[in-house]
Parts: sequence; structure tokens; C-alpha cells
Amino acid sequence: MYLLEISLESRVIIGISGMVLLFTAFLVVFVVSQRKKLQYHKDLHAMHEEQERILTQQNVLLEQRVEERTAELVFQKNELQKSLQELNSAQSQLIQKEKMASLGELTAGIAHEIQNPLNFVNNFSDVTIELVAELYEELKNNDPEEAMALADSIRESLEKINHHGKRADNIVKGMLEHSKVDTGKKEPTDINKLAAESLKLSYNSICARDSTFTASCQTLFDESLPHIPVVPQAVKRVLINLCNNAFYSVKEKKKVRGESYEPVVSVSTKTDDGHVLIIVSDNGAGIAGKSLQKIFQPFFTTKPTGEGTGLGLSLSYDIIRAHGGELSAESVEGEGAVLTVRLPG
Amino acid sequence: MTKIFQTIFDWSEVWALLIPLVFLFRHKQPALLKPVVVYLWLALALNIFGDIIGELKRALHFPHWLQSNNPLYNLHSLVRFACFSYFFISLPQTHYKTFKKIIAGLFALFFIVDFGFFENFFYFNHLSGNLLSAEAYLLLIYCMLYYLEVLLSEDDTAFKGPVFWVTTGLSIYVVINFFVFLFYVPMITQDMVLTDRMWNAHNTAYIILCIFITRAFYLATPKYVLA
Repeated sequence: MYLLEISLESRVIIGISGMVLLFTAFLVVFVVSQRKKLQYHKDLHAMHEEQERILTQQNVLLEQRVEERTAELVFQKNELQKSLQELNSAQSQLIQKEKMASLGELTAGIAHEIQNPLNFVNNFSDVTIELVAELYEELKNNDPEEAMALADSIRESLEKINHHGKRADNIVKGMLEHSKVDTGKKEPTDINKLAAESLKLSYNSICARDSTFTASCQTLFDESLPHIPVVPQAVKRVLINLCNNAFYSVKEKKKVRGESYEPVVSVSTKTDDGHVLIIVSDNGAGIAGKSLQKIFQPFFTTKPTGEGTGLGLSLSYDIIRAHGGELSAESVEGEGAVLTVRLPG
Repeated sequence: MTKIFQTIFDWSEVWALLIPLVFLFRHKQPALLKPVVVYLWLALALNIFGDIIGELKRALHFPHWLQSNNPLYNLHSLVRFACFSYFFISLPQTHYKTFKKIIAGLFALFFIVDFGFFENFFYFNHLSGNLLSAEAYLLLIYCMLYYLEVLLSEDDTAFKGPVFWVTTGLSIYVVINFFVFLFYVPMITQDMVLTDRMWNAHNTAYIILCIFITRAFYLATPKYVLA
């Protein structure tokens, strides 16, 4: 069976047509695909350009924000520096105020101390003037025995004037001694004497400000205490500060309790494991637990506004730490407080 | 001398296949080239039978039903299309998958229609030029689709891979033989000498195909990327 007869001419036409058709289709498909590919690349390129443009825009924006933020931070830094300077300045002023307050208290104590011998000097000098006048009278009356008796009285009076004058002189000398510039040099110091003077000055100071105030001042000193190297003016300032606080506390309690309450402030010294302890205690209002944790912080005070800077104990703490010692506080609220200075021996 | 060369040339359909097949003993091929390997073995068997019948039918006094090798060429055409069709459809390419399957379907339809209504598959006088031409044309479309995909994929390594060499060898073979097969039957009646020369062109193309397949096998080692 062979039914399909196709002439040679027809086969040539079919063959050439078939090939032309095939290659044309190939070319058409290729060109169309290439155009699509080119369009795709073009779109891709456009997209990349758009992305780059957005990226550049975002970069510019980011840089702008960074600049703004930097400027803001610089401004904040300057403000903070300014605030810090102001705080430092305020702190310096407060420290100066505290120093002035301490000086005032010291001056009051010294003035009270000098006032006593001066009263004696004034009284005895008045008495001496009267005695000299009487002596003249007796000498005019030619009564040598009476004149001799008056002369003895004048001598005794002058001796007393001299005694109290010297006492005042000692006080002034002591004041000058303590008003020496704080060189920071340590020297062997009698702590018992320093503590006694501090207690006395503090008490005199508070009495000078409130003549009605009385308190029992007790001392219990270890006589065998060695002289230890400290900066006396600095340690004295600390002890005066501790005593001032103790007197303030008992005074405040006295206001509440009235006559039934007897204020007691005591200062004692002792040695402990090669250290010297100075203990200032009182039976005053005491310190609340929360406050006890903060009393050595600068500017912390339980006193009403205007009565305390909050720097006393902080400065005292720093002074004792500078001596290599410790300052600690114990208290039962309402029953009193115990402040202990521990100095290396 | 010319006769010896012509005889050797007439048997080229057998020995040309031995070139890639010998190479196979030393180099195991990847799965992608398995349809090609299968084709080579089947083609070798068919061509040996075909050439024995063609060259020795008179000398050996074969029976009547073994006097023509034309049905074997028809069968060879079927096998070749089936193997290479499977090869192209199996390629790891993303485009034209459906189109490739349609081509296979078209060939099947053509085969049924042609041999159902117009031709006899076992016709002794000559091979089916229509079948072989259609097969060559459709295989050429497969090759064109491969090139198209490679050109559009921007994959430069594809031009150095074994699939490219197989496709190129097949392209050369089918382009030449499309016309050979198309004109073969009418030419038999008009100019037998020219027909024989035309068959020489077929054999030359077949040798080229086998050499290109050998080159593909050589390249199909792990260091080359398959395309």
C-alpha cells in the first residue's frame, strides 16, 4: 500500500517552506523574547535607579537627622555642663556657708569663754579702784595699819585680775591656735583635750544663743590614750559638729518633754584594737532608721529649712575618711544617738 | 579502491556508532544522557541488521521477507524520535515543556495517520520518506527550542556542555537529512546514482552526529555543567 504520492516539485516547495517557516518562527520567537528581556532589563534598571534614588534620599535624611541629633546632644551637653557648674558653685557656696556657721558657733563659744574672766577682771578692777581710794583716805588719816590691810586687799585683787587676765590670754591664745590656717599637716594630738575643748565650745555656743538652755555634759576619757597624728583643727571641727548636733537633738527633745526631761550629752574616748575611738552620745530625739542611712550624704538634713545646710556630717565624714578613720552612727529613734569617730592610732 | 571506500562508507551507519559506544566503556554517563545511550545501542542493532540485509541479501540468499531493510529504517526513525524526544523533554529547562510534549504527540498522530491511511510500514520498495522527513523536521524543532532557551537564559556555560554537543550533532544530521528523506523516494525513480550520492550525504551526517555525541560523552564529567 502506497497511496501518498507527492511530486518532487511539491516536496521541494514543502521542504523549503518548512525550513523557512521553522527558522522564521525561531527568529520571531527569539526577537520577541529578546525584546521582552530588554524591557525586563530596562524595568530592572529603572527600578535600581529608583531604589538608589530612594536610598540616597534616605541617606541624606539620615545624615540630616544625625546632624540634628548631634546638635541637640551638643546643646544638652552644654546645658548639663552649665548646670554642673552652677551646682558646683552652689555647693561651694553651701560649704562656705557651713564654714561660716561653724565659725559663728566657734566665735560664740570663745566669746562666752572670754566673757567670764573679763567679768572677773572688770569686777576686781572696780574693787581695786575703790580700795585705792580708801587707801588714800587712810594714808591721809595717818592710819598705817588700816592702810597696810587695804594694800594687801589691793594686791589680792590685782593678783585675781592678773589671774583672770592670764586666763583670758590663754583663751585668746587657744583661739589663735585653733584659728591657724589648716595646713593639713598632722601632728601628735591629745584627743582627750581636743574632745573636752570641743564639748565645752559647743556647749558655750548653744548657751550663748539660748541662755535658758541647760544640759548635763559628761566626759569619760581614757587617760592612757596615746597622742595620735591628726590635723587638730579639722578633727576639732568634726567633734564640735558632732557635739552641736547632740545639743540640738537634746534641745529639741527638751522642747517637747519639758522639765521632766534632763538632757545629757556625753563624750568619751577609748582605745580599740590599735584605734582611738571618740564617742559622742546623747539622749535626744534620735535618728529615724531611713534618715540614719543618709545622714552622711551631702545636703541631707533633718533640721528645718534655714537651720542646717546638710553638709556638717558629710564634711565630717570626709575629714575622718581623709585621716584613714571611720565615722559611724547608731541610734534608737526617740532614745538618743551615738556617733563614733574611729581614728588610726 | 573507490569501491572499498564506498563499502566502508556504506557500513558507516554501523562503525560510526561504535565510536561513542566504545567511549562508553570507559566513561559512565549521567542520567541526562541515558536516552542517547539507549538510542546508540538500539541504532547499532538496527543498523547491523539493516546493513547485513542491504549488503548481503543476495550473497546469502535471504528469504523473501528479509529482502528489504526499509522497514528497519522506519523502525529506526521511530526509535530515534522516541529517544531524542525523551531526551529533550527530560532536559532541566523551564520553557516550552508543554510544546515539546505537543511535538511528540504530533509525531504520534502523524505516524498513525500516515501508516493508517497512506503508507505501509513494511513496504519493501523504499523507506518511508514522509515519516523520516517529518521525524527530522520535528527533531529540528526540538533543537531550535533548545537553542532558543539557551540564548535567552544568558547561561554561557550551556555552550560548553554535553547537551549542546548532542543537540548540535543532531541539528546537523536532521537539517541535512530532512531534504535527503524528503526527496529520496521520488529521486529513486528519476536518478538512482544521485540517490546513492544523497545517501552518502546521509551517512556523512550520521558520522558527524556520532562524533558530536562522543564529544558530549567526553564532556559529561563532573567538571562540566550540564545544560
